[in-house]
Order: sequence, then structure tokens, then C-alpha cells
Amino acid sequence: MSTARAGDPLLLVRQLRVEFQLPSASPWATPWSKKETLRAVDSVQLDLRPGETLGIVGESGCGKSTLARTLVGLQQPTAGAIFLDGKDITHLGEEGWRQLRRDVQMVFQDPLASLNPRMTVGESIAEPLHNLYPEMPLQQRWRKVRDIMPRVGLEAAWINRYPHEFSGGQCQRIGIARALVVEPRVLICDEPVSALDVTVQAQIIQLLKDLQAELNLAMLFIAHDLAVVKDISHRVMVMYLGKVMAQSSSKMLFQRARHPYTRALLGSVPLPDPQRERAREPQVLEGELPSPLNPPSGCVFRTRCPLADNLCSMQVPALRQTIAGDYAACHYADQTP
Amino acid sequence: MLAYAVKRALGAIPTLFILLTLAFFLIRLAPGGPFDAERQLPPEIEANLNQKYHLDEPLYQQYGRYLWDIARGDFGPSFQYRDLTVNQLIADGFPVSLRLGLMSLLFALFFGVMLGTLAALRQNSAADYGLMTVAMLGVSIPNYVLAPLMILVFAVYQGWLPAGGLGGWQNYVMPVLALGTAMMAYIARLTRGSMIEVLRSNFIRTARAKGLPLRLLLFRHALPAAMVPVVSFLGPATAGIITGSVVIETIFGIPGLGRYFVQGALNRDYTLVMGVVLFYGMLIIVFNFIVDLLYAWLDPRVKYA
Repeated sequence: MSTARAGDPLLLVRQLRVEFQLPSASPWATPWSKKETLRAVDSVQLDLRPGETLGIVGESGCGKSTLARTLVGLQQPTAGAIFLDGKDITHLGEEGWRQLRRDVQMVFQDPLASLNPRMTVGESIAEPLHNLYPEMPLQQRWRKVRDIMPRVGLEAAWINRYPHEFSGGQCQRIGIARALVVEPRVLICDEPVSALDVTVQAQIIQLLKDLQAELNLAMLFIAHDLAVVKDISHRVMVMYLGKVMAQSSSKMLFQRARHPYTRALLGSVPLPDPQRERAREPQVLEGELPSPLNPPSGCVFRTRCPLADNLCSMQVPALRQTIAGDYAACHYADQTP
Repeated sequence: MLAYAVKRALGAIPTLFILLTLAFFLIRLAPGGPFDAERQLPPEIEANLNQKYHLDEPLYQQYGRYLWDIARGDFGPSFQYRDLTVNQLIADGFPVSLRLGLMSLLFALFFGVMLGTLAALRQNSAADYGLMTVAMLGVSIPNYVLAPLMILVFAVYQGWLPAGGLGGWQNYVMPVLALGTAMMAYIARLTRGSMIEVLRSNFIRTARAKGLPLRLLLFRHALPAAMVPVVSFLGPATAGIITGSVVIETIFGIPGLGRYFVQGALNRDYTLVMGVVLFYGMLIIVFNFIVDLLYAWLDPRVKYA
């Protein structure tokens, strides 16, 4: 999957699979009965270069958060491999991941709930330093905290305040400061703006874009809002039921999407122009998301796909290149207008 | 802070007044009097005694006299231990009861929190189910059953520990266990429940993403948050220790406040019973105040003014 960007990928994911064992839902189930397997992430590949943002979109339950948690080591993968800077980090274990957290950090969805209410802002931001750089002199740590606060738009004077004294947007700035204070190379943002007001969303997105350019971060940006993803990402990956449906450059995806699911997602975004919005043919996805415990055979999207036929129920479509830089997992990707 | 303490202290006065009034009239409603249990006394002596202790006055006068004494911090003379005042008896018995109560409380807190945390970390494992079954058993067995059972096993059959009295540390083992076990079991269940909830919360996930080792994760982030329900329980727990100590001190023959209380009630030692009731009341009020201060310490969002 070569793109025009130079440099080797910093984060490389190959055939990643994450499964959860769930107790059977049957009323006759005993603790000994066979567990059901939920495959949250299936055969996901991706690579990420320094200075690049990969957006991941998909409906709730498509496995995007599980993917993010796996990439920061909060979740063990079932199969597949993750490489950071050429080093296999798939099975590092707790201690190995702890060391790795200098390089890989994460920003979470609910900003206020993600901060310990018993700690001041300064303590929260400084904690990763205490923990990951215990040899760093105390004064230097606090100087770093004081330095990073204005960079994320917080006044350094607020250092002794508690999280509940801040707004949602400010809390997310604290979350970003906390993640960036250890100067990571990879930043994984799991729906960092979906809990915020639209105006605040725009501020946080702009902040993330600026910081990325400044620090040359490799960024993974997860969202369910296509407009948000379009704004920040260089490339976009579309997930459905744990699988990658499509991947292409941000521009291409929004102009000429090849995959029917991507098109359906784009069709569900309202157009800002009311006249064009009214004139547009409504594209609403029929049906419900199938249960990930019992996914459809063949192409997982076929139960809701307007193009689906026999081939789709028998054969899993591979992720293949349609035109340069655009990938789609669909048997009929070439036939879409 | 000081203003808050003063406000709380003033607020305690009506509570104590109601407690005093109820206790004063209730104990006098009980049949019999302080000097009935002894040999038949000649009527002249009984009249003398009644006069000395003002028991011949009408009830409202006695009540008024008692209120006046209490306001000056004087709990009056004991009817039973004639050479001692109630103040002296409390000063005598309280340190013993306090030591026993504090040891039980610390025992219950330490093991309860530890076992509850272990169970939460291994949620739904065999260890979790085992611990919680034992905890349920601990909550269900009353201390007046546990104490004689322990005496039977450890003192009578095995002879490892003394059956009663006060001497060295060995004398404290069984009373502390008997008084603390139910509380420990309850605290373990409380801790498990809140710990499971806290461990699932977002800020714990953040802490893990910061790369915190489990020790710091638990002690710095999870435990303070999980302790809130346990702290709430400390108020009722103190009351439980006080009522429990009445039973336990009697069973083990420990010369603490609880035993004075029981004997005072049996002997209709009005002033002693009143004194202990008031003292316990103040103790519970003070302890609840401490619990409220602990809340503010555990959660910076709680402010008292």
C-alpha cells in the first residue's frame, strides 16, 4: 500500500485479529458450556508514517475502538502482528508495553471521565513523566508540564485546578497535553471530539493538526463523523463489522468512493447547501447491523448492500487496489459509477 | 473549616438533648430501682439513700437537676459503684473499649479492603467466589455466636488463648476477631463492588495508557475512588462496634465501657446508664464528623462551608 509519502512506516499492522470469548447467551448455558467467539477486529492491515494521519471511520460496533485499544496495548490481539519502527510489539506483555508508552500515547473519548477527579490538572499531566521518566529531575518534569499547557491552549496558572472546574473542550486539551508530554511518536485518538460541541470540535481538531505538524506525529484518528475525519486525515480507512472495507486518500475517498458501504456512509452526511440537499437522492442503508457473533458468509456487508449477489455470499472479497491509492474490498468495486 | 466544625458542634446539641431526654425517661420507666436488688433494706436507710441521690424528688425536678449537672460536664455519682463518679468510670473503661474498638476497626478495614480488592481484580474467578462466599458467611454469623464458638475451640479445646479477662495481647485476639469479622466481611463486599466499578471507569483506562504499573494504578487511582462507599459505612460501623462491644466485653469479661453499660442497665444504675448513653452519642457524632472530613479528603469536589 504505497502512498506518495516518503519514509518508512512507523506503525505497521498485519492481519490483526482480536476476539472476545463470550459466555453463551442460551438459557441452558452452564459455566462449562462452549463460549461464543466475537471477532471484533478481523484481518486488519494498516501502516502509518510520521507526520501522517490515518482516519478510521465506521458505525458503532465496527471494531474501531477495539483496534485502537489493541494498538496501545490495552487489549491483547488474538492473531496478527504489530510493528513499531520495525520492532515486533505484538506480544510485549505488561512491562514491555509500559516502556513503549513513551512512544505510543492515546487520547480518549469522554474527556472529563478520562481524568482522575481526585488529581489536579498538573498532577494528571505530570504523572506519565513520573512514571516513564523516573530519572528526570522533578523540576524538569514540572517545567515540561508548564511548557505544554500553553501549547494545548491551557493557561499554566490553572495547574492546581481540578478537572471538574473545566469545560469539556478544556478537559480534552488536558487529555492531549497528558498524552503529548512524554513526546510520543504515535498518537492514537479514539473519538476525541465526539463528546464535544461543534465549535469546540473544530478548535480541538485544529489543535491536533497544528501539534501534529509541529511534532511530526504519526496519528490515528478514529471517528464516526465523516466531516471531522475528512478535515484531519491524509488517508481514511473504512471499517465494517471488524473488517476493512476501503482505504484511500482522504481526497479520493470523498470524491469518488468505490466501495458501496463508503458511498452509503457519504450519502448519509447531509449537504450544507439546502437546495442540493433537497435535490439529492436519499441513500439510506437498509436493515440492521448484523450480529458480530454470527457474521454473514462471504462479504460481511452483503446483507445491506445494493449490489450484493450470489458471489458476495460465497466469496470474501479481498482488499484490492481499484485506482492508484484507492483500495476497496468489494467484488464490484470497478463497476460502481 | 473551623467555622464548619463549630456549626457541626452546635448542630449536635439538639441531637444530644433529645437522646438525653429519651434515655432519662426510658430508664425510669423500667420496673425496679437502683437499690432493689440488694438485701431488704430497712425503710429508714432506703429513704436516706433516696434522699441522698435525690430519688425522692418529683421526676421533673430530677430531670432539671440532671440537665444542670450535664451542662457543667458532671455525669453524677454512680448508684452501684458508690465510691466512684460516672466520669471516673467512663475515664476508666473508655480507654479499654477504645483500644478494642480501634483494633477491630483497623483489622476489618485492612483485611476487608485487601480481600475485596483481590476479589475485584480476579472478578468471577474461583478465588473471587470463594472469598465472597466466606464474606457472606462472615456477615451472617452474629458476634454473640462467633465469640462463644471461638472460646470453645481456641480456649477450651485447644488452650491456645485465654478465655477472658485482660492481660497481654493474647487477650485481645478473640475479642478483636469476634468484633471485627462481620465488619471485615461487609467491607470486603463493599470494596469488591465499588472496586469493580472503578476499575472499569475511563480514568483508570487513561492511567493504564499512561503506562502506570499495577501498584500505582491501584494505590493512587483506584483505591481512593473505591473507598467512598467504605467511608460511608464507617459511620454505621462505629455504631456497630459500640453495640458489639457491649456484647463482646460481657462475653470475654473485659472491663470496658460496654460491660459497665450492661451492668448499669441490669442494676438500674440510672446515672451510669445515662452517662454511657450520652458518651456513646457524642462518640458517634464525632465519628460521623470525621467521616465527612474524610469525604472531602477523598474527593476534592466535596467542599464544606
